[in-house]
Order: sequence, then C-alpha cells, then structure tokens
Amino acid sequence: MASPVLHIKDGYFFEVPKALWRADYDSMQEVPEFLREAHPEATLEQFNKAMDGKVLIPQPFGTLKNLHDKESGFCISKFMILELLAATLLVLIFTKIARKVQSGERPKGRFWNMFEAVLVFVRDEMAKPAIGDHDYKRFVPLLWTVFFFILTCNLFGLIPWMGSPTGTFGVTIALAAIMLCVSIGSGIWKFGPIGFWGNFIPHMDLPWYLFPLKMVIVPMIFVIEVIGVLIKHGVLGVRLLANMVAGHLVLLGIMGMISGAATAATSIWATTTFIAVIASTLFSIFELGVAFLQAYVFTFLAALFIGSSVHKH
Amino acid sequence: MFSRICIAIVVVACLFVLPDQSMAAAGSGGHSPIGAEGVSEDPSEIKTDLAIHTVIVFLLLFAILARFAWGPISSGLEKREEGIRQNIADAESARVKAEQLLADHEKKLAEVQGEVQEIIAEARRDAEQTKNDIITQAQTEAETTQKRAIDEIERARDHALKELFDTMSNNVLHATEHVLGRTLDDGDQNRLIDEALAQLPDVSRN
Repeated sequence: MASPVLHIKDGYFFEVPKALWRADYDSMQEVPEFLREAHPEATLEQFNKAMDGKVLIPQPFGTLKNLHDKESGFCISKFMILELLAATLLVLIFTKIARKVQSGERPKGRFWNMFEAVLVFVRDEMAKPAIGDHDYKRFVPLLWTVFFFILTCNLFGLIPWMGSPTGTFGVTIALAAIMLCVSIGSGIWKFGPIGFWGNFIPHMDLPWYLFPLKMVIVPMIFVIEVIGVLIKHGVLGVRLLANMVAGHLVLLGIMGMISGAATAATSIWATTTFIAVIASTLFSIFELGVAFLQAYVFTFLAALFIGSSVHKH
Repeated sequence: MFSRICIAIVVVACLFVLPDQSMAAAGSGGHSPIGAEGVSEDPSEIKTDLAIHTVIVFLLLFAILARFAWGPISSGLEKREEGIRQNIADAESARVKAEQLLADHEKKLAEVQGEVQEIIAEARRDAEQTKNDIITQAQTEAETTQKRAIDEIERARDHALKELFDTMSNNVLHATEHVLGRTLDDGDQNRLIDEALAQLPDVSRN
C-alpha cells in the first residue's frame, strides 16, 4: 500500500471513491504503459484493483514514470489543473463583480457584498498600512490576486477529491519568488538600482580611526540584509506550505485511523470510524479558518516586504 | 436542517470510507505499490514544472484580472467613495447654507418684528393724536356753539328787555301824562324811568 502521505502530494490523477470510478482494463494493452513497465509481473486484476478510484489525467505532452513523477516532456498534474480551475473561477467571479461595481449602484446581495468586503479589507487593512498611503494603490491589484489565488487554492484542499496546490513547494516557492521579484523590482523602480541596494548599507557614525572596522562590518551587514530579504521571502513560501501540509496531515492521520482499524472487530472499527469522521469534520472547520488565515498572512507579509523595500530604512 | 445535513455528511463519508478496508488489506503485500514505485514521500520536494506552471498561471491570472476586474473595481470603488464623500460634503454645505438661511430669516423676522412694533406704536400715537384732535375740536365746537347760544340768548334777552323797557316807558309816560295831565319834559321822563328801573326785579343777572 502506498504511503498515506502520497494522498496530499501532487500527482497525475484525481483520486475519487473507488465506487465512482472503476478501472475496467479488459486486457494488458489497456493498462498504461508506465505501469506495465514498472510491474511486468503484475496481473490484470492487480492493475484494476490498484487503479480503482484513480482518474488518470491524459498526458499529450509527456510520459509518466509513475503516478507522481514524470518520465519526460511536460506532464499535466492535478495541481496544475486545480490552479487553472482556481484562476478561471477567480476570473469569472471578479469580472462579474467588476461589472457590478462599475454600474455605480450600491452593493446588493451576499455575493457582491462578500467579495467587495474582502477586496476593501485587503486594500484598506493590508495594503494601506503595510505599504503606506503614498504607494499602496500601485500594489493593490497584485495583492488582491495573490490573496484570492492562495485562498482559492487553500480552499480547494477542503473540497472532496480535490487538493490544495498550496501544499506543495512548487506552488508556494513560485508565489514567494514572484513576491520577491515584485519587492526587489518595486524597490529598484523607486530608488534606482544603486539607491535600492544602497538602502541595505547601514549608516554608521564611527570615529575615523575605526575605518578599517567599518570596512569589514558594512559589507557583512549588507550581505546579511540581502540574505535576510531572500530568507524572509523563502519563509513566506515555507510557512504557507507547512500550514497546509500540517493541516492535511492531521486530517489524514484522523482518517487514517479508520483504515488502521479496518482489520479490527466491527464494533471497534465502527466506533473508530464514527469518532474519526466527527473529528475530521471539526478539524476541517478549523482548516477552513487556516485557509483564510494563511492567505491573509502571506498577503500581509508580502505587502510588508514590498512596503519595506519602497521605503528608506 | 443543519443537523440533518451533518448526519447526511457523516453517512456519506462512512460510505466512501468503507471500501478503503480492501485497500488496507491489499496494502500488506511486500511488493512496491502499483503507480507509486520509488515516489518520494518528502513533502518538501520542489517540482520545477509545477513551479513554472504556477508562475505562468499566476501572471496570466494577474494580467487578466488587472485588465478586466481590478481596474474597473478600483475605479468603481474610488468613484463610489468619491461620490459618498461628495454627498457628505454637499450635505454639509447644504446644512451650513440652511443654517445661514435660518439665521438670516430669524434676523429678518426680528427686524420685521421691530418694524411692526414701530408701526403699531406709530399707529397708536397717530390714533391718540387723532383722538385728542377730535376731542379738542369737539370741545372747541361745543364751546363755540355754547358761546353762540349764550350770545344769542343774551341778544334776545337784551332785545326783549329793550322792547319791554320801551313799552313800559311808553306806558309809564302815558300813565303819568294821564295822571298828571300834563306833558312831561325830558327831565321828568328820565327820572321816572330810573325809578321804574329801580323797582324792577333784577332779572337780567340771573
């Protein structure tokens, strides 16, 4: 049996209940080639059993090594599809909101009010205090995008048979890298390349006879500051990943108790199942909060980093 | 309603969990699982193509939203906020204007009040004047009338007295002439008249 951790990893298939999707391979020819190559000794029945409940994503641009790794080319993974789905959803929602806002009417209804409240919150409570009154407007669209993209990806993890793309480093580090580029880019745009990097050089009023010491300390502090910026943004990605993975691992642990008790007596298994389902429901509610909180934390910290790079230290 | 939904969720969850028993049983074999051979269980591995895909999707999403959503939303929100600010400013200026108007009107009203008082006072003064005039005129007229009446009465009395004296003096004369049988000269006549007058009761003075 595959490790339960693989359930929260990215893969090249969607996992659904076995009852919903039966792998009805009639002959060995129908079994995907990468599976046959990896398991030449396996029988058709074994393949069918293993592939029940796994909806393979068609791979026109590459070949797979196994269900979680690719062999060559570009393979479309579950999280890629989910990201596209999230992006499509956001485009649909916010173009609709945009039409409503532009109509100039007062906000009406749950849909409009809910999204507008969050938009205004991100703008007034996150971007404005973090970046400052002068520059924040330029960065609000980016922060809106980041917030809603991460939030949607986080929430996908709570929808059955989907998963949260923000639970992999590929996604969180990419997002953190984008924020790093924005942060450095906006600093350079504001102060010029020399001025921006010059902001990392501390001002020290040392007596003249300590000049040699200054020549050592200043480059050191410069390097530390630059590394600090990189680490801050790196941690941005790590924090998001860690929170998502941790939550899913706990959920996985709770649900794993059910399959752990599968071989036990029926009464024990039933009790375990009952408790685990209740516990995982409650924990999912908690995860719902974490999904929002982590989107908020990522966006707010990114805004703070942008704010610190467009202001002189 | 909510509890029913909860129960339904639990039941459905149990149904989906059930088939996992067979999976757990099958997993006890020594072979590497089909489809997961050699897969890293480390959640910290970085998949480059997923990262590149994320960057592309994110930037595309940003570009599309910035073009079709964030721009209009930002300007719409600002327009609305500006509108609200404008409305508040308008209301404030209208309030100030109304207060000004009220003050003006109160002032005007006070002025009018004063004017009215003035007019009433003047009217009262005029009326008083007129009344006094009328009274004075009436009094004057009354006095004049009275005086004329008195004059007339006096004139009539004098006339009457004179006639009476004339008649009486003639009568006295005749009587005296008759008694004396002679003609009285002027000296006698005057003396007689004086005597007669002295005997007359003093009527004219009452």
